[in-house]
Amino acid sequence: MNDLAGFLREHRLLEADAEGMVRIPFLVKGQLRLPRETCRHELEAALAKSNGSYAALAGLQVVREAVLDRATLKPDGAYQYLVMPAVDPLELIETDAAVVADALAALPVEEALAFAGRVGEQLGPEQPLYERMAPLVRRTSDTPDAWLELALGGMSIAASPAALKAQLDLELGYGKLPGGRFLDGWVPFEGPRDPGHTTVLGVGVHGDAPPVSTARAIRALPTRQLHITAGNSPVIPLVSCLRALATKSASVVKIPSGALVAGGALALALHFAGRRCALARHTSAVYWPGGNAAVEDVLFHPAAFDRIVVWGAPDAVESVNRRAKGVKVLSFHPRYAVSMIGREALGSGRLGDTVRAGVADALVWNQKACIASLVHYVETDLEGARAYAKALAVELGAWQRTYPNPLLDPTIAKLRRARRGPWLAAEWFPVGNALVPEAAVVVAEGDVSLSEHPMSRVIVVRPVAHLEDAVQRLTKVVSQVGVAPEPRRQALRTSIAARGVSAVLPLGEADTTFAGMPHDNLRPLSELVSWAVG
Amino acid sequence: MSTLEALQAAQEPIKALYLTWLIEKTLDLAELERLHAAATVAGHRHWLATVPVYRKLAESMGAAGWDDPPQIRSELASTDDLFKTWSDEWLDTGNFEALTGWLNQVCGTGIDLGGEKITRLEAWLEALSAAGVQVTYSSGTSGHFSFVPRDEMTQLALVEGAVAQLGQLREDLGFELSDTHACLLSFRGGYQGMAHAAARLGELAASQTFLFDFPLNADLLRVAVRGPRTDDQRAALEDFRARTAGAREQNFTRVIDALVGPTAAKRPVFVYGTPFQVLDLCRVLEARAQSLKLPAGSALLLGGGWKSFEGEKVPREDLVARVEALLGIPAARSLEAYGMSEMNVQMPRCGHGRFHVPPVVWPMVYDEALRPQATGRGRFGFSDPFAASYPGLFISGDEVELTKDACPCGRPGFSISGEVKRAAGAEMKGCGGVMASVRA
Repeated sequence: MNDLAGFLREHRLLEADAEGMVRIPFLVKGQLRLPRETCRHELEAALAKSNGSYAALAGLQVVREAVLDRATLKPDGAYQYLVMPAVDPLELIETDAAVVADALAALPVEEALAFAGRVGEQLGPEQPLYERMAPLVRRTSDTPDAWLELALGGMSIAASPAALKAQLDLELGYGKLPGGRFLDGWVPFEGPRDPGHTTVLGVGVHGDAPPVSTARAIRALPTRQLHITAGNSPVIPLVSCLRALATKSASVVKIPSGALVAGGALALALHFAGRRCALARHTSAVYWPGGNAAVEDVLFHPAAFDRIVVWGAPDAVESVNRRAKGVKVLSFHPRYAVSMIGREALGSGRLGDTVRAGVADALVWNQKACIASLVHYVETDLEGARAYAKALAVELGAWQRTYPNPLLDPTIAKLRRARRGPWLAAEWFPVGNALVPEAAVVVAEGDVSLSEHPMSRVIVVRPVAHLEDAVQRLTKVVSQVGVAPEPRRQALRTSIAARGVSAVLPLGEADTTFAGMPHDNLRPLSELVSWAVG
Repeated sequence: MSTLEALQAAQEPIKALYLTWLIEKTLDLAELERLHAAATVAGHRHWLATVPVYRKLAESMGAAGWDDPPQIRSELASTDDLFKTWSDEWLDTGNFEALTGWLNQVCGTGIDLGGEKITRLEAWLEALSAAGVQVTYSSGTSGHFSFVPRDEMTQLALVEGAVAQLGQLREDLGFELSDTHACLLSFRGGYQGMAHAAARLGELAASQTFLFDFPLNADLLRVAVRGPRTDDQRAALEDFRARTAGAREQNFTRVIDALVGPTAAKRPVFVYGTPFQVLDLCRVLEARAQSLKLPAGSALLLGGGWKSFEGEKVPREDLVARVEALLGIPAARSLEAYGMSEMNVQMPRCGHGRFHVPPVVWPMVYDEALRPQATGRGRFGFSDPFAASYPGLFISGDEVELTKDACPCGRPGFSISGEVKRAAGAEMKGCGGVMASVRA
């Protein structure tokens, strides 16, 4: 059936029924798996026996999410029951790796990218999938509407074949050759070759050396990939999946608990993007609760996948590394960003622009993204830091009026803990409610623990005598640094990047990207393919 | 009347209630609530007048004039990070003036250490003690110490509380510390909380043996937790390890040998240590196929929790059973108390497994948004009007079930039932996040 809208209606997928139940499909090697029929009573009974938010039943899984009031982002008392099929891990594994390799290696890149583009189209605004997915995502997301709408609307753009092609060409580029060519076939290598030690030694045996053939070529081959994705944005499962599609690879995408609806929509989009493409038959999108040994012991078997991508904390990555011995693991850890403001950027004629740029860098994905700035190192004394903080608070107030930031209880708790614990000695400049501010600037003279950073429009300002002093504090847990003014960025960027920071950008441009931009110090597509010489 | 005098006046009737609760096992909860309400307001006014960080927090919230106890407890309670808000940079660079300056921000005593140049943490703690402020510390697992400063009045409250509890032990168990040999599975003193307590208990006993027969040095412990950074530190750490983990057999042999005399003389033995150290003693005895029959009247007191030995944790029942089998101390005489370094009293565990909250503090649990609730499950917190030198409003990192339902043991008032566990941090759901130990 090609009528997606009709299919959604017929199977009542991605819509909340009168009891709050939402049926979420999975995709297993191109085949849709639909949840069996159930009732709220059965789900409640199972949840009552578990932790209350997840339960496994015969042939089913259910996740219960609190529905939030969009104005306050507080639970409105209702729940959404996401009903999903059970997962059989053995079904997900490509047992005949050779067949998959032959089928996918032969697939033209253009066809793979066109398939990805059709996936994106299905998820585009005003499409039936979007019309069902977006309202459900909004019901439980703790991200303010303005950010959420941009993310949902951007899903189809992320899958643009032109952008993916540019990404491939840059990330897999070899010498001056565009990367896509290496996925399409063997590309001759024309540089000098070392004859090898045995050839030299062979002269001692035979008196002469055999001729060295001239034919050498390089190729990037598809792999079998497991993508364990994170749920702070509905876009991340799609982004990770697109990397698999762009590299023409067989993949299993683990949908994160925070993006089950978007993950179900992805499963449908993949299915309806066209089953003739070989990728459609070798792509899966499923959910299981992280740490479920019955599933993960199978999927982490060293023979099951060639690559495992993990978006998660180091302990999760370590667990995968320990169990999937010999499999190449790409990990994207939680990180945070900082800003560095040189004294030249604080002058009376420039302070306004600096503050505007500094706040913009802090508010990427409402400060929940790894590239959102949490700390501003400012080259000034304590008085100067206070003045800068006051200006930041005014700018945050302007954002607050335009884009309100209702606080969830866990965020309120973090704010309270930070203010009355690790940052008690610091000076607070609250925005809005003095007791529980919707945003705040915190001036800290000494170093502070970031473990309680609320990541909710809170900027820590640290005065430093020289920006170079702040550079000494950077490690690989910092994703990127925004620097002002530009000459200081130019002067500091090597020193900053040498400490493991992924990007050193002009202040105010934290979320500017380009296709093929390295991610967490890697070119992921290059890591996901298997490079071969033949 | 000064704010301090007003606070002392609010403390007195609570002390009387405490003694009644301790000795007679009775408590008028309504009266306790009324007295603590008054004490919370008195404490708020005193801390506002004397503790700079508290004043700053209150002023930033417009809370200086508040006199509503629930509001004060809700909005002005600190987390247990209060005493960790100093900067590692200061210790790394030997900037003890900055550390003293910080202490004066969190502590209302206005300490002046004069012009003497201090270069070591242990010397700083000694100088503070000489100046009348007893600072104990706990090391945690990050190496960033928590320093709890007590002036003479707060220190006295701590000691009085302990003496009263020991006095009650005499009644309940026929246990007189001054008649016992103390087997102290800790260091012979130092400013670290457990070592400090062990040394004080040792002073009260007739005789004593320490597992580590030397005081715990704060500088050395910091190196041990954070790792050495110079050759001198490496050498000192090697020596420290040789005297502790490296001398495990010799140290336990000395401790066990010291039990022979008291056992022969039928003098009760008082064993004190963390659960891990007690377990380790049991393991040594098991490895030697040795069991001791300590004299009747002997007792064990567990304190401090498992902390960095969480991976070695065994159920309490198993540990107590091993102690009974190997040391001859009956399960009923294996005692345990729950507390925290910021608290001036410990919460004893009764035979029904509940930790009873002495009425000197007003307990609460904080919900998901960190709002205080009277009872239920949440982060344990308390209002302690006996903290004169620092703000006695705390939210701990422990999750508990707090109840005021009657306990079968007959002890009235609030108690903690079930397991005490560390409150979970917020789940990291995506790419943005900060590892727990990152400082910026």
